[in-house]
Amino acid sequence: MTGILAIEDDWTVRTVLEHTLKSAGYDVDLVAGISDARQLLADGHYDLVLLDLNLPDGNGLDLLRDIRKDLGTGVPVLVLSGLRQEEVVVRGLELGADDFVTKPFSPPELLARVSRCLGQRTGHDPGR
Amino acid sequence: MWRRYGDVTFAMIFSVAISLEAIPLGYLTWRLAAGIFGSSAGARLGSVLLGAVGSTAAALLLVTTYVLAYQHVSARHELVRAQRRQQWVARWLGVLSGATAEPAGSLSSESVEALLALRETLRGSESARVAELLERHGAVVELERSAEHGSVSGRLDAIVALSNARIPSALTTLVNGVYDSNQLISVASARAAARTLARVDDLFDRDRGAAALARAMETKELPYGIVEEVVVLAEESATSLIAVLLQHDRPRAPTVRAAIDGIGRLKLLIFAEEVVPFLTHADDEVRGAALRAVSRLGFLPEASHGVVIAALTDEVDFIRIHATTAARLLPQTQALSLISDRLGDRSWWVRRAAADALVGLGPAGLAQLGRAAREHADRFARDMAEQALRDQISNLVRAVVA
Repeated sequence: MTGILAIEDDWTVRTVLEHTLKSAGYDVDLVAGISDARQLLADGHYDLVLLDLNLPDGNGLDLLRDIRKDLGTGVPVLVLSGLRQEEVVVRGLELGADDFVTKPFSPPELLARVSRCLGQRTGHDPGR
Repeated sequence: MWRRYGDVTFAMIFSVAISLEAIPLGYLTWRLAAGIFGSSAGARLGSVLLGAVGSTAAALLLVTTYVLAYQHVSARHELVRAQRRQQWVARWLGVLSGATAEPAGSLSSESVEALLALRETLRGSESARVAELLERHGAVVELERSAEHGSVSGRLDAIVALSNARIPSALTTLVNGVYDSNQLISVASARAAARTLARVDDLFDRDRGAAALARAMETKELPYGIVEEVVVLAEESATSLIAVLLQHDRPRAPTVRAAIDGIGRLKLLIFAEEVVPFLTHADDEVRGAALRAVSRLGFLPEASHGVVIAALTDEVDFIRIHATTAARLLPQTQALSLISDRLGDRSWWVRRAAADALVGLGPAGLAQLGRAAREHADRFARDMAEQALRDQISNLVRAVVA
């Protein structure tokens, strides 16, 4: 099963992510901060990382930079951003994010972007 | 504020604590003032003092115990509520996906909060279905009732909830709230109405809602900062709101200023032509807003070049600051020369604005800064130009290293 690590501190967004992704057949791990995410990324293998930018223990862009440094470009990263964060989104894309989803978001759009990111990297339709 | 609940208990505990303090101290003061202790004062005075110290200790103990108990109980209470809200979010997601049956009857406060949180988190058809659920279960009507009646804190909570819900049918209630005699309710209602107006899709309803909100803000004479915030919060409906605010019969200067600043902040190019006449407005604040908007929109018709050039030497400092920023929209040769002159302005802020404007002009502006750093007649202008260039080098280094 395709494994996704979602890094998000807002409990409502976390619940929506968990429900939406699990309903679509993905295996999801959820963490609320950068330090927990680093530990999980070091211990396990994920096929995709969903990354919020404003986290309680740091900036998601720093984690994105580290993911690209440590794991290369093999793991697609989908950035979750708020409205009117164009500059941050551009910075995220420059640092190697594969795509972004703007909050508030629509679950079908999220699934479509996740599927596209995974498909681009692996060349097959994942998560099923 | 460390308390969210228990206003009555809090008031009673502190009344008791203050009474424990005030009664013995008052008694002591009265007896001493009246000289009633007399010659045998020693023992009686000692016992009264001991009583006062004892009551002080009791009062402190009472207050401390209450604060600690409150923190403990409220933390647990909040935790339980958060868990219930989370369970309700999961349940509502099941309802939205068709996996779970819709709950019957009236909703608990946690289930309404979960729906409001989902309304904020979701977009598109799912968000519209959440709005339907809120309306169908009577939550919107209940919130509207709470927004109109009851204590100020209860009304504010309901207005904030309606602001998060952004249900178009609640717009009339929120606009009526702007007329409230309590300024807190009035301002909160204006903000909530703006956020709700942003979700009104029907163009006729949007214009009608915008007109009602603009009328309410003008009647209540809401200050500039609030009107500007309302304009920005209206998002896509801001055009309707700005059109009404500017077309209003003799609008107040703060309102015009807020509308023009909204045009600039939201980069509403549709209003670019309408901003231009305000460049010569009698009110300095309005003129400043028009210059800011022109800069943000990047639109300065040739006929208005003279107005901006004249504003560069205006008596008012902030007009010169905004004019300097807007001057980069002049033909480049003219812009470089005029902005460079402002590097020698008497105000540090104008000099800084001139340096930033030259940086914004790209290589030609940087070259002009270099010339100014070497050759400008004014020492402060040379310093500012040099400082701006140094800032550019450090920005460049940061960008390269990052």
